[in-house]
Amino acid sequence: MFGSLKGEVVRKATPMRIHLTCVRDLAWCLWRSIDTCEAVMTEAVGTSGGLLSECGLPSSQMMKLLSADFTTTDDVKDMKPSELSQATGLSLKECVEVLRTASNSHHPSPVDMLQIYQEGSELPQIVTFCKALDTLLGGGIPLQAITEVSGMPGVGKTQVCLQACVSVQLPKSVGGVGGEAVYVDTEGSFTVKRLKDMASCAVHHVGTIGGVAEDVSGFTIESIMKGVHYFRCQNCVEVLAVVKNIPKLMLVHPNIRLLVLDSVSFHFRHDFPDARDRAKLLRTVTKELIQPAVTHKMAVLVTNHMTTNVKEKGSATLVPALGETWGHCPTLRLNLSWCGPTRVAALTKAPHCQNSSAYFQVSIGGLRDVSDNTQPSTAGNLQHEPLNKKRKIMESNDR
Amino acid sequence: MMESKGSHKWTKNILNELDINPKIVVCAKKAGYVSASSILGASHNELEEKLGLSSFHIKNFIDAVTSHVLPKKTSAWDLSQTGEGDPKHITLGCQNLDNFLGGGVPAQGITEMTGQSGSGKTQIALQLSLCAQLPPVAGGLGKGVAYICTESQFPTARLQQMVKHFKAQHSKGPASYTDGIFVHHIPDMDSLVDCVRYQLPCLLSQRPIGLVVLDSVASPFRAEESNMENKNLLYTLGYQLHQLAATYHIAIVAINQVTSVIGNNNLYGHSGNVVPTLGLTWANLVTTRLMIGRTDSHVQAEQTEGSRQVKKSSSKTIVEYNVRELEVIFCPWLGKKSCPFVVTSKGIEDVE
Repeated sequence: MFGSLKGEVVRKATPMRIHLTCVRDLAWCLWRSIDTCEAVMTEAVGTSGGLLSECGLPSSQMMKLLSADFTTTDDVKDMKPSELSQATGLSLKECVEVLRTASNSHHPSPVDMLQIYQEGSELPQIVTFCKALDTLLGGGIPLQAITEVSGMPGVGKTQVCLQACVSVQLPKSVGGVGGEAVYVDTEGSFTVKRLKDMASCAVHHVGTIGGVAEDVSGFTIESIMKGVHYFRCQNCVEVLAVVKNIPKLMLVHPNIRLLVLDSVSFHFRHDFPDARDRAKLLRTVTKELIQPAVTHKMAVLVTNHMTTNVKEKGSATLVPALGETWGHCPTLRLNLSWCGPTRVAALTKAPHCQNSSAYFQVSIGGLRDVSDNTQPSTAGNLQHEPLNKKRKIMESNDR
Repeated sequence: MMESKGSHKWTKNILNELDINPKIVVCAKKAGYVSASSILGASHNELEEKLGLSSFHIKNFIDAVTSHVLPKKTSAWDLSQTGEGDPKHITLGCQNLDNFLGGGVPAQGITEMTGQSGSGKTQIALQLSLCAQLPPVAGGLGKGVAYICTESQFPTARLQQMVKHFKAQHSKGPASYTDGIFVHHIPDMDSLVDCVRYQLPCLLSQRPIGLVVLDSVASPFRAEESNMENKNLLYTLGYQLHQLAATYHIAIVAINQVTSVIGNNNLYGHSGNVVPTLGLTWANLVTTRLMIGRTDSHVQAEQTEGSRQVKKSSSKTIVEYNVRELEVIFCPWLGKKSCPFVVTSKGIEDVE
């Protein structure tokens, strides 16, 4: 019905642009009624593929494709190389490449705020097993964001990472993420023993609260240990390679929902005579970290060293390392420090919650709340219920 | 040799090692993108522009480089099954201390021994130098020791004394313990960094070494001014030690001094009036930080003088030992706790 009109739309405003235009603008642009334009928009959203011009083809090939009226990847999707060659005048070899590129290219279609909001509120978070810390983070370590954990050596950065590796695998039926984790170890501080300790506590915990769901019975120490993919990186290029390889790894292990980089600063603080080189590599890492976080709904957890920042007057403060360039990368910055005999986590950068702090402790079973009698009683803290489950209950009450 | 293998692997030309379209290699060479760091550090668009190739070829190129430098992937489960996940340990020669540290001193990262002067840091280091040479069944690594001295002369006499007792206790050890300890005296900071950078990798590649002792890391650096350049050198030193530890699976024991703190400077959650020296730069590099201190309590024990064959009742004397404490300040796999021990003529011993 809208065949001719669609052609007009494609010529005047590409389908991509229709997504971004409001109905009124389209109606004005095409001199049609609003109802018709609404229908056009729905169809355009439903049928159009990505734009060929966004596939990164050489401009000479692109010109020929456009002049032969091929604008979207859908247009060439079902064609044979020989057909395309005939239609466009491109060589057979070029056509093969065009088709391969078109089929491989990834087309992000614009989404509106409501959709983002709905997805965001449905997105589970990785609980830390410490209620105070979860509350501080607004429910746990968020997916689709980069969280930086900085602090003095020995304050528990690696412990937070290990806990997250276990927590991310909590079954969906108890409000967990049900994912897997990638652990990028630069300092050699990863230990299987600690992971095992935390895993057995988590399994015990789920056993006490969980029901008879299938994913609960499959939640064992072995499954947790198998769900942690470990890379030991000896230099910053290896770190870069691992991060760049995440999309490929996702093809084999599509359930990966957590990327841990412990620590980001270890290699990047060494052997960079030129500060610009380091800044450039750091920006590349930043970009490569954000990409999987957003496209694969992954939580990225990085640790950072502390360094002294000497002010002009001679006073010095402790700040996370790697400077300002890096400071822009994390969505959340969590700083761990000691307050007397207890550990305290302070949120220093967060777009969605207030900057405040929370006490936590590191017990054999992982991160826990600080109990009143200061005894590291894991039994008491194991009662803690994942926050997401609570939220679901709250939502059902609303309805 | 080690340099090319370790830190410069990512700056050397890797194009010829890639299994890709020769056209891409030619273009990359022409544009000057030959090393893994420059290729992976560049963005997709930048490469496409500079190399003048299609997006598809660039993607192939980046994928090939990525898989070329990609380290091996394992799962935590595999690590636990093969035993790679838990580091090998060097026994300290005493049951309690070994249990306390989860098997002894780990061959993973840098283990720092810190404490006041005369607390027994060197004693533990000497004992470790003997224990490392024990075969794996006896809790050692069955390998030699590189002992880098920066503070004073290597305590040969004390070592001989310990060897004598040690041989009587452990039958499985090597014939000569002293032959397995390579001692190197270093006077200052620059030569220490050079030694760890160039000489040590050389030694490690030629001889079976299982333990490197740095006694101490503090004195050369404390003698120098604490400026940015020296901090970078210190970072280089620690970084290189980490690389060696990971490459050769050796234990690194670095001895550090302490400094008094005024006021409540609670940075490490450790309540004491002394903190290890060298500041944050070094602390960030330490994997396991252990602190040794003397306590107020004493234990009495019978000491047997002379050799065991000649049993003279008159040589038995009652000696009083000061009980010392080994405390974990931080360690990724150990909690904060402490364990008592004593230093006797035999070496390090448990307190009954």
